[in-house]
Amino acid sequence: MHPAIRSSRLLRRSGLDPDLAPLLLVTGTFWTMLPWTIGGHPPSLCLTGSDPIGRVMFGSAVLLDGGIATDALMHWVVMTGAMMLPLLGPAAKHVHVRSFKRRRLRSQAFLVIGFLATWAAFGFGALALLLAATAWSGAGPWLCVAAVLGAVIWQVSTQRARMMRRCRTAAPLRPHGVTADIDCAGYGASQALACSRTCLPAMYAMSLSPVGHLAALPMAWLMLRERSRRDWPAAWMIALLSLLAFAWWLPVSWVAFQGHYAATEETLTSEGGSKGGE
Amino acid sequence: MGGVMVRVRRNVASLPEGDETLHWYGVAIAKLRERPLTDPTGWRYMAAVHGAPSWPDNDPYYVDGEQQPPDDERLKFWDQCQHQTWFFLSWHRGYLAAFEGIVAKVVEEEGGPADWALPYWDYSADEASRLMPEAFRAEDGGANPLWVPWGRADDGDMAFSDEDVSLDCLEAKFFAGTNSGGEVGFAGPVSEFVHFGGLVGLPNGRVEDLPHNAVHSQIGGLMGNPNYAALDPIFWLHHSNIDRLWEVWRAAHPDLADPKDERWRSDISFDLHVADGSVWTFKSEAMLDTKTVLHGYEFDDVAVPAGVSLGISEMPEIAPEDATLAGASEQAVEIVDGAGGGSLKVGGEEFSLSVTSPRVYLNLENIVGSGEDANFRVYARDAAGGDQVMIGQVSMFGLEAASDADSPHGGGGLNKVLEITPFADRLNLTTPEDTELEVSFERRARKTERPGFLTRDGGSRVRIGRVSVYYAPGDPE
Repeated sequence: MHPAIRSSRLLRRSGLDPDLAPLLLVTGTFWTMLPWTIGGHPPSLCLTGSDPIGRVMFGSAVLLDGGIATDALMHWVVMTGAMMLPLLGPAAKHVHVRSFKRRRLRSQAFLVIGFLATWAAFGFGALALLLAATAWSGAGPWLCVAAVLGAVIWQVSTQRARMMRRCRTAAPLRPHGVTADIDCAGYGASQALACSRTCLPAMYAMSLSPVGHLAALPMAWLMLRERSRRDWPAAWMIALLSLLAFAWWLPVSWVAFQGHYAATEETLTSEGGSKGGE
Repeated sequence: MGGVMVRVRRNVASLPEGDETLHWYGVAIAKLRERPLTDPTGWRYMAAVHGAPSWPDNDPYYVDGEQQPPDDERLKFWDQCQHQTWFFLSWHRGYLAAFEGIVAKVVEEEGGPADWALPYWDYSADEASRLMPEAFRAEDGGANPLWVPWGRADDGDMAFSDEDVSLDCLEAKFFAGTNSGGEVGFAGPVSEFVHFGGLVGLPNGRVEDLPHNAVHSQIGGLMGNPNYAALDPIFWLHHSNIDRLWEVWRAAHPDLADPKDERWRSDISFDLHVADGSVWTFKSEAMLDTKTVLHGYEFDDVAVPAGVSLGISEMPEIAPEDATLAGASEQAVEIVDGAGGGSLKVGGEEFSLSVTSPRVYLNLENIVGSGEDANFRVYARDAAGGDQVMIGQVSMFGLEAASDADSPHGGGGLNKVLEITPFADRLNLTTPEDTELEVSFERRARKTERPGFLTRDGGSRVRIGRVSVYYAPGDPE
């Protein structure tokens, strides 16, 4: 038996659709990359570095630092790729079925590009917002708190539950040439937009937590279950997980904040003393 | 009276002289209509479980000052009907049983028989059966609870065609189909929970398409729109017949009747209110034996009608996912005020990727629009020459619900699959050469006007996102 046919049957037997193998492969790659983007320290947008809360709170330098911003953005793209791409399964299947046989792989590629590019834009948006907030009297941490609480409230709202039904709409795809590529990428972007209405707050909450990467796998699984099993209280569990991931961090960051505040006070006092002595 | 009572659903056309089934149905409806919108056993609440009207502006039964149930309750119990999915039959069976129980309780409270059961309207039996049952036709000075001001003709003739009441669905060889452009199955495509339309391009199953959708569309009025349909008392007799057709199909295909797939049997559960106001949660696997569905019921006749040729038995319950795209339109097809069309190139290189003697399917993808709920005839011809051929019919039942992006339905539109294998040779679709296929649509006439609250500015507009042709391997010799 041809290896491709054998693999296809194995996938089907395990409950996975072989038509979605390319998507699974890309998703797996992002999961593999996820630990690398953490780089040995908590990779959140708010908290980057060994003394994160202070760096965010006491100066926009932390986000003006190009390296850190790039790391954070890279982490965002990889995390959304790992967690959100599995939700793209029905759309990838739609693109597969609605494309000529010889174009199926290419169509799925454009779908993923459109999807991830839109999610990356949300990452840019978050960074810009955080930058503005930290530049404005160091409000970054409070923005983080507000974002997480907002995400939890949105997560369990009936409005969000209604929007869940819109996450899997299909779009007509032109069959040939560049126009087909554009339609697939556009469909990916529209899927990301629809998805963002239900998942973006939770994804922001995850990215704001230094232990978000630990919660990523259960969160991704919950999000997938939430779409396929309406009788399952996944929405509440996602909210709880978001809250836990963030709550774990709060006392730690508060201690860090106190330490940084004390150190800053000491520096200012000593600088004042030095100036006074000159 | 010993033993367990099983209610018997009877053909409305065969009810004996003096039978009071419809009288008590009317009595119960009048009582249920008195219940407020917030009562889960009320007439309007039960109808909203299928699909909720646009409240309050376009709800013809809106009462000044009335309240809706709380948002979370509506989210859980309203807008639940399953269409374009393999849950179509099982969800509606539970829904009908819950309704039957509610009506039966009122009938008994009002002094009627304890074994009241919902009749069915078998419009496929013969020409006379196509007429709407007489008890539903006349207003009777406003005293007839079975009458509604929309979707009625005095003589009961709704102008059903042979296609509308066709039982070709019984020849389906698979319980379920797939969303792959090919076979859609008897019940509908494999899916998750699907309210009306739009989700990843799911099409109607065969029994949902004909006769279910066609009858809805041909009656029109409230019946033409899934968000209003269950407000028409004839809705329940129509669905009782669709429920019966499932039993006919099961009886005809004993080797493949009951799906064994856990995704269908037990993965998804549904919630409905029953006669005592409590919540009943059920799964599809509990819908297989009608005698154990809630109070239990059976039909007086589930024999396979004459003229229906049954498919092969011992086939898998889900159709193989073997169709491939062979051609698609580059542009959307517009249908304005009942007529329109477009073209697509089929064959050539794509044909050579397929097989000889293929099954051929025409797909109408992402159909959106407004002001339209009728049946359309579909015609095709080879643009290089050849006769125009009528290749089937599609219903726009649910078009608006499936098109509204702000509704819970998602806005992805309806999807239709027509098997056109019998016409493939005439349309030059079985040769390796390219074929330019012209496809056109023409609205069928019907006896009734669209209700005022469903009339839209700008008339009737339908947009088919893409018309495509799929090939699948032919049946084994």
